[in-house]
Amino acid sequence: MNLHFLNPHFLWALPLSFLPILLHFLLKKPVKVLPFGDLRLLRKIVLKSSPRRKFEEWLILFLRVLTLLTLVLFFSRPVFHFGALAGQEGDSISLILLLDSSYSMQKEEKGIKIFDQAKNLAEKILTQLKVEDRSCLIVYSDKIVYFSGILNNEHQELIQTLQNLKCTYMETEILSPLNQAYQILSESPSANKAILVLSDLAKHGWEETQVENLKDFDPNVRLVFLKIVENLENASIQKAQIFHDLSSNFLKTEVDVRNWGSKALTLPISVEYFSKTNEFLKRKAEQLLNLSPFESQKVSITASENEPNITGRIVLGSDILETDNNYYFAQEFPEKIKILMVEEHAQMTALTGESYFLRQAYLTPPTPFELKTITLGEIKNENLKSFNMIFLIAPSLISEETAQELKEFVKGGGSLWISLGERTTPHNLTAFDDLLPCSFNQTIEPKALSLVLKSSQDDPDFNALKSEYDWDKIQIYKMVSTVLKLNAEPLISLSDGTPYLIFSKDKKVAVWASSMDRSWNNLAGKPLFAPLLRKLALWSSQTNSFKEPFNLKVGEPFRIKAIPAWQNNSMTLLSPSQEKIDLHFSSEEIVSDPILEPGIYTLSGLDIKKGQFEKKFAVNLAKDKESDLKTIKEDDLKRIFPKAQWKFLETNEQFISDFFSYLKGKELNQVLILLSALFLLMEILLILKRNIHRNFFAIFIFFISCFYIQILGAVESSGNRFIFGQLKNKEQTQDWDPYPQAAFDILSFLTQTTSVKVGAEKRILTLGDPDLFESPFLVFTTQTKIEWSDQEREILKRYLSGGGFLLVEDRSGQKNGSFDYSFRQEMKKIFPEKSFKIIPRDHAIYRSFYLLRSIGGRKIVNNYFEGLEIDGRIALVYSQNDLLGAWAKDIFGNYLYECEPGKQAQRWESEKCMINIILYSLTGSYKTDKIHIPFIEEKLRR
Amino acid sequence: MGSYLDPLLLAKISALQLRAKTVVEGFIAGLHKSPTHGHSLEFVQHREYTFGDELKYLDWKVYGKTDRFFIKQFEAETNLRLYLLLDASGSMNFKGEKSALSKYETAATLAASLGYLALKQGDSVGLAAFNKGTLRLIPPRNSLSHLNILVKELEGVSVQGETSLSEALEEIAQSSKKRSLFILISDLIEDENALLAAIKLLRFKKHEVSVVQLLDPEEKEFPFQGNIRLESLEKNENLNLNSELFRADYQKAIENFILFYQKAFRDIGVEHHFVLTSQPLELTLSAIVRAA
Repeated sequence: MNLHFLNPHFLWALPLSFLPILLHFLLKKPVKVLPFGDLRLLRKIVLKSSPRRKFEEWLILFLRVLTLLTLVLFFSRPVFHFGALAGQEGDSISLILLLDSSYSMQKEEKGIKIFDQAKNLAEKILTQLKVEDRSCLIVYSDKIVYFSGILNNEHQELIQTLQNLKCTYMETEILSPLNQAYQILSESPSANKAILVLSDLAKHGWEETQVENLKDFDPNVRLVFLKIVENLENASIQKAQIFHDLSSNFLKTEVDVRNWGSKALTLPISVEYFSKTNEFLKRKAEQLLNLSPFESQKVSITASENEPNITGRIVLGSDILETDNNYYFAQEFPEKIKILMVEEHAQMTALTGESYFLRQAYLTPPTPFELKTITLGEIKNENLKSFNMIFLIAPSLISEETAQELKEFVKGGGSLWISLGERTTPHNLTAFDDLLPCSFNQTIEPKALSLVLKSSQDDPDFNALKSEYDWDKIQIYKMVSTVLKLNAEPLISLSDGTPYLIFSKDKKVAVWASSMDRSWNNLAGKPLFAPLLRKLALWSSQTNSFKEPFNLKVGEPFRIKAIPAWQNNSMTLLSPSQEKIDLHFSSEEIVSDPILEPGIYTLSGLDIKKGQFEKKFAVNLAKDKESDLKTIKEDDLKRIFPKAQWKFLETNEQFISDFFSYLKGKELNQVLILLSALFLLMEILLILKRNIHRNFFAIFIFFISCFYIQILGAVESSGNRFIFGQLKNKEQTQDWDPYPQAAFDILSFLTQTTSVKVGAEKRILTLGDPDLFESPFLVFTTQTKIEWSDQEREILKRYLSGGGFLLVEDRSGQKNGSFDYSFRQEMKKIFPEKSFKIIPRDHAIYRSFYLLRSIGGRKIVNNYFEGLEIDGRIALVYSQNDLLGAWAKDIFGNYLYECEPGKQAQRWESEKCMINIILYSLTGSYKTDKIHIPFIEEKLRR
Repeated sequence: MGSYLDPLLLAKISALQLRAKTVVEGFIAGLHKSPTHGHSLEFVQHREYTFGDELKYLDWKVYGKTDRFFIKQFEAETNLRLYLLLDASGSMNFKGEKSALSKYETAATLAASLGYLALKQGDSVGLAAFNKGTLRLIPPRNSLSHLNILVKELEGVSVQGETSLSEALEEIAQSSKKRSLFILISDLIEDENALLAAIKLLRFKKHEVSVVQLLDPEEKEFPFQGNIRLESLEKNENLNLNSELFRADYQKAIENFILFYQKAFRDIGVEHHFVLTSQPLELTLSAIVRAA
């Protein structure tokens, strides 16, 4: 708690306030000596009421002293600070704005995202900063997203930057931005330093911070935090797994949902599919979830699907943070694996042939396989390319053509399986001997040996097969001995190493060194048989990795192996909002820039072989701890910032004034002058109570009160000052303030030439601002087409009808530009019965200060101004000559634009026009009163 | 008010006797014809006629009945004995700035006027002026020339010293035997209980009492300003005070003081008249006389 004075010299007058006491004692000597009758009565009276009267007397004296004391203090302008003493001169501030743009800032409070609220507050504060203050902006999420560089006083630039910022989908990491902030402040010589932390203070990201990690920590830097209404109820989808049930037409999802809040939540969760054009979502399945506090639940939702490729999302019903309620997926569901079984005499051996066992194994539902059984002779009738796998069951002679077709099939990516049996002799298979991974000779009868599965696989399925089933029970009676070729891999062998199932290196060709016949082994009857065969079939028929669903996290770049068939310059990657993301090509892979937004991304391009293709993949949020909206506690803050001072400010209308009074201290002026007036009043009341006859005293009181009212009026902030307001259309980002400094030039010229008291700020307002009606003078300059909402039109109508004044400038420099047209339309909508009229030369506006003979502006488009009259007063002046542009200067002070066609004279006219317009808005049409006319006419004649 | 003599004007008449006569004449001029001729018409008894009695008092009815001559005797045949009691203590000397006459001068004028009136009617008037330790008593006589003696006495009294109404009244009560009317003119600033006791004594002795409480307007309003030092006119003492502080209290106290006496006197059947020295004396006189 500290007090310091802006006018300390006045404190010398403090002893003056004790003057009444002095006077009291000096004047105590009796003035008059009077004879009186019997004092008996008087004596009794004095004795009785003396104490009370004495007390009253002292009270009045005391009040007088207080009145003078508070008056003296008022003139010495004390400033009250919470905490350490502020700087000595001028109280300039060095302020760093830390803006949190992690995805927890997207939570909504009263319908507005906290991020937007924070941006709004930051803008408001920046507009209030003065030339001697310094500011800097750091925007962060999990790293520093934007850093404005140095502390400087280009506050307007920061406002521009702020408007373009968007919230990210990343998490929070506060340490590096804090470090950056403290480092900059440590280099600043200012004595009044502060950091405004615009964050929701969600635990995540703060908990890990320690003060030791803050290198330039300075406890004198004041911290301001936002006090955000605690609404911690948030639920999020942590992760989800999508299964495709190949046997039925269902999409199964298993979703992990977590409730981060302390209240039970009931939310709907649904699965939605995107339409083909990615434009809208169709709800496919829905469930209602009841989540207890802090609970995670696994939910299964099933939705039907009838397309092989589905993109969609799983979405939780809306809570305050919607960003973490989505889980996007893009699934390419593999078609069923088509197996062609080739066997002899299919019909005849239907029940006992080997294909029977295989069919059992493959087709037991649910099955990802489709099976077709044909004989060797029918191969040439089949389109081999439509199958993923061909199983030749103990073939007899294979002709050259068939062999050729089979070779083509394998080359095209299919997998070929052969089981050896009695019919098969080495002679039969010579045709594609080069395909086979082994050569074989005679049948052998192994001794009772068991099968062993090669376990070098990291595949968990193989390991499961190995451990869950009893391989010892399998008995091999007969098998064919084989000789492995180079690069062949036996997957299954006997315990003595004799290979049983041999794969080629590329896993495309497999040879069973046995038949499925019961007489050769009892494999077919074992429970191991079906899963083993399925797994082997799946394993060998994998094509390329594109079949796996693609799940990226936000922040990671998109990566895919370069496929030579794709043409690099035809590839495009589109974001969910149809924006192109840059791709970088190397020989091995295609990489994009880090992806910043969750959703469904589309990769399209030209495949030389297959033509135009399109692949979709889903991007989801990264780690989800950010969804825990619980804020950090004060104890944590004490730990992170020891001995520093901070304040939590509520985000209401008082925010700006509370902020500045925290930083700059509160000037006690108003309090003091009110106190002083109060003491005086009390004293007067007490005096009047005992002395009713004094009317000259009443006159004295009257003058004193006039004096006080004067002072109070002077203390009042902006009631009697002219405020320059600039109107900004909500969506406009760049166009609305082309000459930011022009307003200040106008204001200073106004102060110099007229007696108008000017407020030193330029207020920036939108039509939705509540402050709009506090600013009766507005300027709106643009050149793009405008369109207002109904609400905005209503507000504007009320504003103009209620006495507000608006100067609208069309900067485009042409007649009937896009702004001009749209603006006139809009005004017609707002005031259908009124229209723009050219302001005549004898109107009060041309005489309100200067006597204008001609029109000014940066570029004369019209030789007149147009005005909209409401109740005899021009409420809106429409200029197409760009008056403001004539004021624009660069940083060296030179005028930016030449005025056409009148050059300097025209510039002077524009300056006069501006002053006139301002004065007209303040004074109205009094210059047209009869009394002024002769003088004006006289001057005009000269 | 215009027809009444402004005390200011009256003050210009320095001779008390002349002053009193002026007052009385003014008073009489305002009176309408009253049936009183100095005799009250209370019939008391008959007396046998003897040579020299006034024939107009012959009661003819009795003669008609008894053939003997009797005259009516009235109470009024016995003259009114009027005692004027004047407080001559120092406090009576008080004269406010705006007042024309001091309290004593007013009292004296009043007393002289009453005396003159009474003597003119044939009543006998006595006077007692007193303060602490002094009591000057002039026994009642009913000759018109007695007025001179009264006036001389009134003018000659040294008005000073402390008030001691009760003692004086007691003494007076002892000395008068015949039933009389006592008119006391004083500011009554004295020990109330003692005074009331003395007056009760007078009443007990079957006397009529009328009290005129006389105060200066300044004594009632207390218009002084600033810090003042008040010196007592009776004793050698003074009091410093801030007049504004105590004005309200004083005014209230005086009010209470007057009311107290009003009530007290009413209770014992004594006429009480409160008079300010600024009031025209004719009014005072008429009030007193009417009541008596």
